[in-house]
Amino acid sequence: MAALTDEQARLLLEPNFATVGTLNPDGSPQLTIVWIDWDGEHVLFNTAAGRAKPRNLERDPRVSVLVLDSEDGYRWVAVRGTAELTTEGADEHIDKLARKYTGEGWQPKPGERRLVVRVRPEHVSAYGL
Amino acid sequence: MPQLTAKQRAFIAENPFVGAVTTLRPDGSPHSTIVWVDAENGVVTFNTAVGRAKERYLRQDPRAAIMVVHPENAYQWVSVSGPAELTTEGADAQIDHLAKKYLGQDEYPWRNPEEQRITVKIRPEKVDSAGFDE
Repeated sequence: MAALTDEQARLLLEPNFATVGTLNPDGSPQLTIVWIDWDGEHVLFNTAAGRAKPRNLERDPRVSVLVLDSEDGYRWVAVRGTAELTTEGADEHIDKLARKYTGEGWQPKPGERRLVVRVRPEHVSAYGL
Repeated sequence: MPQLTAKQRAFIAENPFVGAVTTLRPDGSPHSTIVWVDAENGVVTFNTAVGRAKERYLRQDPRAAIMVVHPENAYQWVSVSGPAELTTEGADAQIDHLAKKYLGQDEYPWRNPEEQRITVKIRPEKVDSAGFDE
């Protein structure tokens, strides 16, 4: 297991965006952009049931998460690990993220089931940090 | 084959926005890193050096995905995936062009005579974007 330095963790706690790499059914890479969080042990992001990303992660949980400093493209941290998905606490978590990134609470969408994705870092690489 | 629209191409080619590129490790897991990126003649390109992880991974499995996000507005982005083609031809000129685009310098300042530059061209099989609605 790998850990983030305080400086790397700060990048995740500030409202920077992350690209998440997952694996499609044919093994090819898929990239999406997410709001990101760190709980001291795991990289966290939030998605909704039925989307490509959680379907990919349920089939193959191997994931890469790259967080880029929005003010300096030469500061970034890339984490790889294995994703765990849960609905538990996911509504509270998306509300927390919405406040972090938009300053306002999350407006739940009818019929949408939120999921928290937790990634324990297995390997960390960084640039400028 | 999907094509980049003129606006998607310009977004990548005409801004000093970095790209997040994902390749596949020998065990099939995703590997992500940041690159300088360009778009020309229908392909998305970046530059690396022979022997680096992503170059080795792409030789083994050419499937790649790349995403360019506007640093001041993360709700505008372009994501392209498809097979990568590698070529050393023109790679030195390309890294100089990228140095101009990203650093405003005529020559890539960190050239290492021990290192052979290589151009990676991703042919779009899938293009997604956000924030380009008129």
